[in-house]
Amino acid sequence: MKEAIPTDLYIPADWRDFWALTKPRVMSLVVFTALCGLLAAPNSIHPIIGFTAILCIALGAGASGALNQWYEADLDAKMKRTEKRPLPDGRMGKESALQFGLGLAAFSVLIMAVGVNYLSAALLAFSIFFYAVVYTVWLKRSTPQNIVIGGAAGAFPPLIGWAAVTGDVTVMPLLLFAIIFLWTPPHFWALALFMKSDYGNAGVPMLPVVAGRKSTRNQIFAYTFPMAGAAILPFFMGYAGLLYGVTAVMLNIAFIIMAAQVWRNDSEDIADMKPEKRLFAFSILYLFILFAVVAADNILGFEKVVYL
Amino acid sequence: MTKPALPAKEGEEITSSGHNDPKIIGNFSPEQSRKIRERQIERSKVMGLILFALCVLFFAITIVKIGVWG
Repeated sequence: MKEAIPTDLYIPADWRDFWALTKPRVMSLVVFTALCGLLAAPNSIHPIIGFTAILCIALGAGASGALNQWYEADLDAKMKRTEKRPLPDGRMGKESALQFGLGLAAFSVLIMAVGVNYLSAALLAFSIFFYAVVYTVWLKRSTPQNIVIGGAAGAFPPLIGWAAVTGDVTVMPLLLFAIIFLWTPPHFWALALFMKSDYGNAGVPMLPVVAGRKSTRNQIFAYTFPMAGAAILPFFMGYAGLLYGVTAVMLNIAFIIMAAQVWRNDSEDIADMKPEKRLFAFSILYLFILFAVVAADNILGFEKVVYL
Repeated sequence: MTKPALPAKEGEEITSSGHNDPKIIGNFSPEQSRKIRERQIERSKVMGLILFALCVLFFAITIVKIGVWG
């Protein structure tokens, strides 16, 4: 006798679950920074090709998110923040997530290569590989420095946006890369400070879990200075104008003050972690404003002077 | 749970799972069958929209690449 199919897992997943698999909120930041990299480039690009480049970067980010969730379904099930994602919640089979992620990755790189240029396609392929394999599979579960190196994956979008326009990679896109790369540790560690128990329960060796909150606060403060330096360099090196320079200085002073408040806070109680929560929220705003100003400065044609 | 097979009328097709209700898929319950159909329809609509948008995009890329739109 044929057995009854016992579970809802055989019911096709809702398309909204596939959408959730792409981490839309992360994707929005990726799209934004990529767009800013594209608009900050000195050349112009046809709007259709520019749209295609941004779409491919978004799809590539979605593919990375899907592959990340496929591999981390067991971890996600152990954390409150992620337990309602489609895989740990049982709304989708792992196979579907893997096929979706791989398909999306291949598709985005292929369209980028055919529609835009090979360099941006190669960078996109490498960034997907870096996030899905180097960060997710290799680093995340093995070292407390996971997000320091893994932060490079999130730093690629402006570089790809720039490469889509110019077909090359020069100092300015590398500075944009460096800003996000150095911004990632203070941003994620601020979150990890008040999410420590979640990461600890899941066995993820985030810095607060392994080295403690005091050490994490020290490192947040320490990373803020090279980040601020990288953020101000485009102005002094003549890659951005006065609008960018003034905004970058103001934003970085605010960031350093907030990081100092985190550094001085020695509370172990999550209820007393307002400085950490404030820094985390501000860090997102910081990146949005800084990158919006990179693009605006170039579009408005502010004069660029080399000071260094 | 397995749906008990209904006796088929003359000329009616009997599915592999033994019942003859076209609204029920395989061994799924009526509620699960309804959910599957609903999901299939929604996914088909979304896929259709995506494919249409991609056709438009590929056409536009081609036109740009051959130089018609500057």
